[in-house]
Amino acid sequence: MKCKLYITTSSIASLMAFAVLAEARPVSYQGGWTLIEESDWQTTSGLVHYTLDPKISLGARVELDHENDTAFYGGQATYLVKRWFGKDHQANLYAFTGAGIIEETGSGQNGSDEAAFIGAMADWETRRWFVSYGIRGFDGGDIDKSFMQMGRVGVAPYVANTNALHTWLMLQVHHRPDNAEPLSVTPLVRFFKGAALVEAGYNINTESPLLNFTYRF
Amino acid sequence: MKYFITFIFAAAFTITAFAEDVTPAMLANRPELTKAVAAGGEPIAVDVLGAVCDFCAMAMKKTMGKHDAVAVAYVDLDTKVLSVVTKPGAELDDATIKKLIKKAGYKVAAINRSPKTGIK
Repeated sequence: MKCKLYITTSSIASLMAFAVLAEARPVSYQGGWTLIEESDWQTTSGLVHYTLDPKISLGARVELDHENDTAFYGGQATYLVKRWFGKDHQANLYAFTGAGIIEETGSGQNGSDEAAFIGAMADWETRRWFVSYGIRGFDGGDIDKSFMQMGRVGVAPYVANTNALHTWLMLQVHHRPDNAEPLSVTPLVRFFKGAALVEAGYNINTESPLLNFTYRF
Repeated sequence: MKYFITFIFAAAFTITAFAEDVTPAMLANRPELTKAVAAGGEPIAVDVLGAVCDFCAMAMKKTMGKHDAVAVAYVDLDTKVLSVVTKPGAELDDATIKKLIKKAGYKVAAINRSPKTGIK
């Protein structure tokens, strides 16, 4: 990939990775659309994806980095490598990749560059417990080559039936070796009803909120 | 502030982790299913694997609902049963049901064409 050297920060990739790895069910049913909005202490992102096949989704992603004044526009493909079924559980292994353009959005800045990422995500879930793990590498050419991983554990205080309000308490941990503070912890609450999922949390390291929203149609 | 939030969250997490399941009372029979059966549709109860959330239920309901032979479909997460009622006179064979569930991303464990309670 041909890359131009306009970007002045090496943290962009990891910020995009946070959003990618937090997505719930990144592949839907065949013919289904999913809209995902995620905001944390530094980025606001939007992803809309369409599921071509029970194993493949394709989407368009936009991410705004408020701290570094950059924007990412690109595409993402997610592949469901394997789904394990049980009467009371489900587990998934996903692989994903994406590519796009990063633009500087700050005053007086107009640089842009190409970027690509690749990663994997796994989860195991019952109606009571939830565990997930994701890993991602980013290649921003000569500007940045980064790595991050993220894990989540969750528990549902009560088990709700179809179309009732589902509530989850979760703990999310990011690991970014490049950051001054590599580990970042975010307790959060997930509310889930029908086609809509909302998550609200508070990052105890940066003392800032997290707000995620997913809608499937 | 952050210590307070961490403490509250940890306490809530610990307490709820060991709590008993509390399942809200749900309708034994869905009105839309009852109506479809009364209209002459065939009720089919499908045991499905991997139904753990509303996205799972929605995926199966939408995929089944698009089929011409299906009048109504409903997934009960408590019982892990997909209830399907066909349109009057329409046929829906097992192979088609399995294929549709696979398109939704899930798997059939068993298909019962004579559910004891008629519905659910």
